[in-house]
Amino acid sequence: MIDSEARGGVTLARLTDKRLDAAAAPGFKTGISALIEGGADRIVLDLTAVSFVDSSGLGAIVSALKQLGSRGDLVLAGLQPPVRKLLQLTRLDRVFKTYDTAEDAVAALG
Amino acid sequence: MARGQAVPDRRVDLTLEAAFPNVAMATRAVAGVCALTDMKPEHIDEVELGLAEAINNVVEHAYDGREGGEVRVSVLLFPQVLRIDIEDEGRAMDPRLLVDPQLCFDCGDPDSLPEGGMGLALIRQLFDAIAYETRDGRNRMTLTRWLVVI
Repeated sequence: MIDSEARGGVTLARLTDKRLDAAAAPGFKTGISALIEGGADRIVLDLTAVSFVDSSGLGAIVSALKQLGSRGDLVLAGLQPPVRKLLQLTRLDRVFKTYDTAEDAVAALG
Repeated sequence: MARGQAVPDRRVDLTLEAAFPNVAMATRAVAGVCALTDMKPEHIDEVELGLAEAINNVVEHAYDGREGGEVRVSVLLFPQVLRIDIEDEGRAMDPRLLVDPQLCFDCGDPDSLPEGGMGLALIRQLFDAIAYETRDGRNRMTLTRWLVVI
């Protein structure tokens, strides 16, 4: 489940569930894809509430990044240690910009 | 029991229907078992992630997402080692896939970024040893990790 709000030109998309795993990934993908189709092009994905992401969940985030392509930006905020670890292990920490808080990320993209 | 074979101190077996919503129940249960040991919380997180990847692979590949398949997860605590056996009766994995799985992509090329296929490479990094065998139509992946820093 994604809660989203517009902050100036930035879309703050907040995940409300604790897990972004293989069970949750299809629903997330549908939601984030709808946001992008609906015009969101600078997106802060707030993962503060998320304590677990697996490679399927991460793959769904990658798919959103690809959907945006060069016309936008998607950054991550509020990563809990297990989520940060997954990014490191997959080396996707070199691809995604991360911020400690959603507010920091919104300020950086705004 | 063969002479010299180590006997676990404690063991628990979990059986789940092969479906993604069930995976979290098994991985959280195993995390609870790990919390009985001296493992650090961040190491328990790693076991949880690696196990989730292994069970996800069974659901997605061994059973091709079909309902009704069964997965058995056995957790064995030895004095110095945690061992997790994951068994299924679905399609066997090509064991060659376990040999040096790679995560290859080019940071500058978004099209090359992986949306899947990361599971085995993660499992490799999160456990100290992996074995896989198929016998009498039953597949078993064995994941082992030291409980102590060596």
